[in-house]
Amino acid sequence: MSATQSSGPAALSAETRQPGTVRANRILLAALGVLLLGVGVLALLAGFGAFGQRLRLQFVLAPSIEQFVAASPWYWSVVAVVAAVVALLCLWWLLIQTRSDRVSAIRVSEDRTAGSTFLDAGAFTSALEAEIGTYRGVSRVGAYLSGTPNRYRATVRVALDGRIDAGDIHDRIVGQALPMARNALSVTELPFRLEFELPKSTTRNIR
Amino acid sequence: MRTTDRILSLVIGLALFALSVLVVVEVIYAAVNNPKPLFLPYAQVAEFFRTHSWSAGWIVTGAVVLALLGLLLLVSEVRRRRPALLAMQSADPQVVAGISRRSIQRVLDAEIGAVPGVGKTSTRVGRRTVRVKAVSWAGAPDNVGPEARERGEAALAGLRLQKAPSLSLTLRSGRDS
Repeated sequence: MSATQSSGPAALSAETRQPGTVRANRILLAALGVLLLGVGVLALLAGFGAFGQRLRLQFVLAPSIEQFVAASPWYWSVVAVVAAVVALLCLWWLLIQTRSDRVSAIRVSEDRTAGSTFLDAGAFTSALEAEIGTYRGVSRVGAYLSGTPNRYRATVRVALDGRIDAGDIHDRIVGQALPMARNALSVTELPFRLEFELPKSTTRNIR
Repeated sequence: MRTTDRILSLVIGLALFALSVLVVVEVIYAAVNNPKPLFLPYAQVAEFFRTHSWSAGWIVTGAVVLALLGLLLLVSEVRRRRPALLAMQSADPQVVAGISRRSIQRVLDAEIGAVPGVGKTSTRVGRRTVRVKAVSWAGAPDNVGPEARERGEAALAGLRLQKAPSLSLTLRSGRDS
C-alpha cells in the first residue's frame, strides 16, 4: 500500500488537551495586552502634554477626583461589583486550565434496556501501542484518545529509529494497525492522527 | 507558546483573582465603619498618585513599562504561530499524519552535514520554506553546494510531505580546519 497525494492542510498545529482553553488564553492575554498598551499610551500622551499642559502638570490623583469619590456614595459599591466580576472571570479562567478532552472510557455498545458497555481507553491505547511498537523502525510509541466517549479520535506519537522511512511506517500503521483498531472497537470509522518523530542520525539497516 | 500562555494565564489569573477578592473584602470592611484598610496599602498608593503629576519621571517610566508589556503581550498573541508539524500525504482520508518541525530540522542537519566539505549546519523549518545555513570548509570540493542542495532536496522529498517546502540553502565559507 502506498500513500497517494491527498488534499489537506500543509501544516498541523500542536495537539492540545483543550483547544477551547488555548483559544480563551490567547484572547484574554491579547485583551490584557490591548488594555495595558492603551493605559500606557494614554498615560504617556498625558505626560507629554498631548491633552494639554494643564493635565500634564496635574497630579494623577487630582483633588477633583477625590472630591468626586467623596461626593458619590455609590462609587465604592461599583468598584466592589467590578472587582467581583473580575474575580469571577479570573476564577473561570483558572478553572478552564484544568480541562482536558482526553477520553478515559469509550462506549462500545448502547442498549436502552440492557445498558451501555464501556471499554477502558487505556486498554485500547495500550494494545495499539503494543502493536505499533513491534514494527521495525519504531523505537517508541505513545497513544491516547480525545473527544467524547461517543465521538473520539486516536492520536499516536511514533518515534522512529531511522531504519525505516516515516512514509513506510505510516503505510504500515494505516494498513495494519488502523483496521485492527477499528475491528476491536467494531467501528467503520476512527479518525487517526499520526505524529512522527525522526531521529538525528539514521541507524544502518543491517537486517 | 501554548505552555507559556498557560503559565502566564495561571500567574495573571491567580494574581488578578487575589487582587479582586482583596478589593471586594476591603470595600465591605470599609463599609462597616473601619477607617483603616485591612490588607491593601491604599493610603500609600493614593499618596503616591496625589504627589506625582502625569509628567513625573516615575509615572512616565511606569507608562512606558505598561505600554511595552502590553505591546509584547499583544504581538506574541496575535502573531501567527509556526506549525508544530508539517503534514504528510495520506491515503486514508480519516488519517492525518505529520512530522514534527524539529524532526525535519534534524534530518536536514544530518543529511547536509554529511556532505564532504560541509561543517556546521543550522536549519529553520517554516510552513513554505526550509532555510539551511551551512559552513563549508576551505578546501572543500567545488560541487559541495550543488551536492548539499541535492541531498537536502532528496531528504525533503523522502518525507512525503503534503506540500514539500522549498529549500533555501546558504553556504558560507569557513576558516581552514
